[in-house]
Amino acid sequence: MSTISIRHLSKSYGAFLAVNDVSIDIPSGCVFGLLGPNGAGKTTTFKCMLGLARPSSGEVLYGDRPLAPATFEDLTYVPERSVLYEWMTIRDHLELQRRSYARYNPNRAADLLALFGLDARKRVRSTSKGMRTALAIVLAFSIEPKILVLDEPTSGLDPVNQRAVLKLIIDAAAGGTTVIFSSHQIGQVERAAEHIAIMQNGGLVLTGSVDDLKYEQKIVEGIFETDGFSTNGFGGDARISRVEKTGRILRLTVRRDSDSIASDLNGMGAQSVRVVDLNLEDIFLNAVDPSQQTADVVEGA
Amino acid sequence: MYYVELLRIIRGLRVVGIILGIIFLIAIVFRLIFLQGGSPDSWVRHAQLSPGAHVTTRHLANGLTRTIVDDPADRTHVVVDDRGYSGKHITIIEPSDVAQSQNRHGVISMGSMNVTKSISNGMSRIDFETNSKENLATLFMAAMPIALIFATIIACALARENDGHLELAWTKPVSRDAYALSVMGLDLAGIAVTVLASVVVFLITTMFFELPRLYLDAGGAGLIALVFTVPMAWYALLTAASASLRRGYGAVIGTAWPVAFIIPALIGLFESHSGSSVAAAIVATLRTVNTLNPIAIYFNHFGRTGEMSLIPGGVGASIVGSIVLLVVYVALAVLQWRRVEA
Repeated sequence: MSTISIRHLSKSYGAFLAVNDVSIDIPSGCVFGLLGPNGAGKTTTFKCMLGLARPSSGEVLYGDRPLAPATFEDLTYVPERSVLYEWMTIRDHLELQRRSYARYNPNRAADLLALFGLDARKRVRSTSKGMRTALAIVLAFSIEPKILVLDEPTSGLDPVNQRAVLKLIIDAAAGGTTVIFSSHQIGQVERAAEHIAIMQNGGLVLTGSVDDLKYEQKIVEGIFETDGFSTNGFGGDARISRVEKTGRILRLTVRRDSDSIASDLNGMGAQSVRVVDLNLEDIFLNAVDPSQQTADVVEGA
Repeated sequence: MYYVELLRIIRGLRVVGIILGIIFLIAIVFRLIFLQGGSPDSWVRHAQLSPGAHVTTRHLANGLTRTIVDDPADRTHVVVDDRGYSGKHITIIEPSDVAQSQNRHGVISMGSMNVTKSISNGMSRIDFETNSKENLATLFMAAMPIALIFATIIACALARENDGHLELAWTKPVSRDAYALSVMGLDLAGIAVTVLASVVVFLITTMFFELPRLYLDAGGAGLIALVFTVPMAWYALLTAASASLRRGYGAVIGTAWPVAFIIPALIGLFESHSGSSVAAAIVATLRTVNTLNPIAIYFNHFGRTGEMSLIPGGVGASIVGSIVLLVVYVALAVLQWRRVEA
């Protein structure tokens, strides 16, 4: 069952189309990663989801209902940039949460403050960027929401606290919370997310479960004795989406029949052949910009 | 839900507290100066102790206690009519330091005290009227500037949220309209608290000098109502003017006061060229614009009927005018708040 359904969502600012006909179904209780290069439209999609910006067209449904004020009883949002009140203390922000949400849990808030080493007496203006990010996380998790929307939730955090946030996300999902988050750190998304969507130039270029996406594509890598081997024939093979040749190494991104293709490389005289899973970074780069690959692309499908 | 606004109001009230504290301290200083011989009573006591003074006290049929101090050596004559709780009338006649050829006359009123001084033929006559009846509205009118300052401090509440905090404000379980109305409602309550706190401080300050004999009539009640509605309408004007702004609300606050006073000044300037049709057109335009200014409406009740704005003179019309402006500005602020995007 989908907790959130985004249907044909578009948002334009004047002539600029920030989000272009995006449709995503986010399953209940999962961790959903939204990926994309800067300016892809991730934050605008979040804003439209949360009623912070008016969609030019399309709709967003929570369950089978559109967003309503009551939806926020069970939903919190951590935006990419700090929206905290600089003149207020950390304790003031917690008090704001307490007065705003029936689900606010003061014990949970105290635990989270301790986890991130935040001093409740401090004013926000005297805290670092990382501490502000941590406070935003504390505020979001202290109400124990059913839906968490996190836009770059680890931005500015040190590696220890980044890991702590990831653990919070995974634990929350294990408890039934639907977590939707964006991050430029693909490794984090890979570790936490079960489903992803990749956006580029406002449009959706890829969506699905991380396992399925990894299963669908493999890399078959062969190392030859010399670099004089031929790649002819691979370019027209429908099973292969990318052919890269770097010196003696031939790297094929294949859609299916990876074992059969590995046998073909053995038949071509490769010294060694291995089949490896694609990581999320490969999937991401393949989706948004093939030219980001470091090896020379000699042929492509 | 509206805790942020509550904190802002408390911060604004701290400023009000500082202003009232300064007024309070000034009153204490004045009181101490009076204790050191500046008051009419102390002057009379001093005159009675003079070696040549002749003092007589009589109880008159109308309930007055009249004390007469005559000091022929000093050419001083003092008459004190003591009305008890209703205060005193003190007349002091003595030689003046001012040259005989000069005659002067002056009146000073301060709260319930009225002082008239006249100099004629080298003799000075001072009449003190203490503890005369005072309209309660006077205390409220004194609170008006402080209420306007507070209203300005907390104004533009919606624009302040729009300055980088919408993601927090709009992801609470409350509708935008309810949020805006509640925030403005809290601020208006803060203005009412400011007026009442100021009046209490002024009352205590007055009591440093004498127990005031307050009264309230219909006109005074109307003025008291204006002291609440005008700062509220002023607050709503600034909030409506800035509701859709992200960072420019400081400019709205900064320019509002000069504009509010420049327009009436310009009206006065162009009115002096009453023969010119251009000047008349400018005055008509400025009066129309000034109708949107709640402070101008406040000054309507002083009798300058129709001179400063299109709203007729009189307290009743001013109250209605300021309430209409308040409602319209609040509605405009909410309408703009609906259109804003994060």
